[in-house]
Amino acid sequence: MKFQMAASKLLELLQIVLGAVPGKSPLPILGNILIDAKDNGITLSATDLEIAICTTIDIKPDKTGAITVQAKTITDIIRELPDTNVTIAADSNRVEIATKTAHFKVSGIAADEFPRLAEYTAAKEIRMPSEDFSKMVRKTVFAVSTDESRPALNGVLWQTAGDKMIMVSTDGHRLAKISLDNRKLRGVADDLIIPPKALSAVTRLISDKEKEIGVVFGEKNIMFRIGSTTISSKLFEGPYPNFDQVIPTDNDKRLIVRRQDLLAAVRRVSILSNSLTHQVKFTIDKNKLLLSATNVDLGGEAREELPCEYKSEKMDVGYNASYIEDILKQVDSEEVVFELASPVSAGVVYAADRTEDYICLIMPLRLVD
Amino acid sequence: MDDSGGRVILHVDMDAFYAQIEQLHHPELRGKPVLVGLGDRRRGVVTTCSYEARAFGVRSGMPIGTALQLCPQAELVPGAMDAYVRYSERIRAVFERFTPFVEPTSIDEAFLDITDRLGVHPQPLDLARQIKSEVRREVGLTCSIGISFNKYMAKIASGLNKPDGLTTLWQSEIAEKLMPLSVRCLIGVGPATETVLANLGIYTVNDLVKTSINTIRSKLGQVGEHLRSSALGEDDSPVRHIKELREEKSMSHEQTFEHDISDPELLDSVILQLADMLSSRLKRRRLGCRTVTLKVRFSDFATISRGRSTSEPTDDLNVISEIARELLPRESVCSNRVRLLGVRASQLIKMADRTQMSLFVDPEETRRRAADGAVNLIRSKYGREAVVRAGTLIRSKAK
Repeated sequence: MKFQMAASKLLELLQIVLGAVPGKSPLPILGNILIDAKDNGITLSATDLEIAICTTIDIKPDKTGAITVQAKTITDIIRELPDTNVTIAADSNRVEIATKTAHFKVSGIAADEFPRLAEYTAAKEIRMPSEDFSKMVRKTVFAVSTDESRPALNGVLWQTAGDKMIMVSTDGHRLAKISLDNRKLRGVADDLIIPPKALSAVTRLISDKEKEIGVVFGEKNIMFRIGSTTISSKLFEGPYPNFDQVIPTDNDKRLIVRRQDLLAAVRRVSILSNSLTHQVKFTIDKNKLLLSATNVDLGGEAREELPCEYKSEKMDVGYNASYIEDILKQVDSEEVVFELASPVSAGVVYAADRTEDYICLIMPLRLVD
Repeated sequence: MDDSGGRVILHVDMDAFYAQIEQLHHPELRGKPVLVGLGDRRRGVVTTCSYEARAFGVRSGMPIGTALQLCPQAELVPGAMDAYVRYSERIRAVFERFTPFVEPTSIDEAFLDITDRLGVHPQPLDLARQIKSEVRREVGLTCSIGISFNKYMAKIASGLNKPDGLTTLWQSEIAEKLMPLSVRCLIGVGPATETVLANLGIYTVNDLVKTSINTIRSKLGQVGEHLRSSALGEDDSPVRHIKELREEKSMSHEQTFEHDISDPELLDSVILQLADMLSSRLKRRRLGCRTVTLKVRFSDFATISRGRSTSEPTDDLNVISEIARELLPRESVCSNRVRLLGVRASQLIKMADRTQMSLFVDPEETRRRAADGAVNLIRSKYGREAVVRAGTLIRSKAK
């Protein structure tokens, strides 16, 4: 194997596939990147066995061949090179990296020891606007559970069966759900539960010039294509809990408040909240919202008052400040609505201007005085 | 006397604790061989036996059947764990009058650091005698006390002269009192380690300290290294202050097997039992844990610890045992037998602080909580062994 490329270009490719290299793995080969030089292009691949990222560049090699090399080592070397042309050459177990003046030799592992990765079947590809996809992921992925005892909740649910394309995530304490019109994907797949790592890898690669991404739906996996990079991912097994059932439809109290003001106030007040529960108490009264927090360990107390729109009877309700912050960051509007029923039931949060079909649920913290 | 300037540590060990309490409650059992059993007559094990029974060769951990063969006239009584816990708490209260540095290591043992309590008068022996007599007078039970300059030696000392003993093991006495003894008297040496040491020609404590550290390390790893340095009196671990204990950071239960095991069903059953003990203890203290760690020591003494966190603090037996079971390295267990299993709960949080409500109410969990509540009620009335998990019954094989 032998080919040449600008060092900056090679670094760019390495950084794309690094997203799939596991931090720590019992299998040393997974710490390596597969470099495969074929007549129709050079492909770099990495996998942690849950997701795999492959990226190809249209360069004809001087000599075809393949090898794997430790991801960290080759990236460190290429990163330190000046932006010059670099020659990569390899035999079965050693890689040479050379510029006009510098020369490096690194041992590698034979390419056939690298896990076999699923091929991207372009014939089955469905294309969708990358902006839609990015938006859906961004607005849901924050609520994914990290608790391994309920594996289905560790992923984002993607429904494409009906008129609406829906993404949902929840950790049992809060839930985010976004719906978009569904034309192209309607009925192409059953409900899928996708690992957040794969979704973040896809959105990270979407740049302004990628107006569309390709998706291939499989039984046990899903693949995405962004330009000349493909990402394949395993799917989590369901069933996903029945989320529609927990979305309240008859919450009768409406609190409307300026989003940025609330976000800033919650951040300030929560500095003195209990470090375990992050509890901020919302005391909601006629057109007046009082936020308060106490931290016994610090001997601290914080209060802040905000104007709001609220007509129902006075209510005290506690929330985890981090959950409120996460939600407020994703609702795109000047004002935000909290639809509430009681201090012990789920609140529904959405943008006051209702320009998008996006809601979040948040369960309160039980107030103990 | 004491090597002046150093610490003075007591190890108080209650004599045949459960059996003594039974004899206290049931005067007709006094002076008789008593077995306190766990499980049924056919498959259960002896958790404690009175000194009268020990005279017949009966030992804790022995199958009840074997014990009854050795001593057919023994009285077999089921354990009443909750009563034992209450006694343990009363005894601890006596200790705390002498020093705030009281560190219980199990239901019937504790370390006390009395360094600060000593002046010209009283002397360590006086103070230890006073503790013995107050425990006797207030709780009605006898104990054995070891006095030394560190925890390890104090624990050995308390075992040298039982029951109702009072033994010092000062630095100046080690050569005479400890060195000639069998390595079995050292804490951490069971039959398996004893065999390993015997193969090296090490029979007495003296043999052990005379053997090079490299030789011992090669056969017993870190455990061996620790054993040798402990036998040389190197242990500066402090006795914890009672305040520290109240703000406990973790709790754990461990089980070392007399014979190393690899039967997965048996390992699961032991994990379930350890988790059950942990869950009860968490519930008693009204605490929940956010991390469960499983410790596995293999027959070659290689030890691994694997932990996993939950998003919500839990005291639920099912959750704890399930996590611990999933952490068991099944592949390694097939090729390497297990010598010790331990389950630890850490990141402890008061359950009252668990205020986050859930969107999804799991009906299964609600039912389980109700069942757990009923089990605890029965146990508080009839003792811990009145209701046991079916999965733990297979355990008697482990002994």
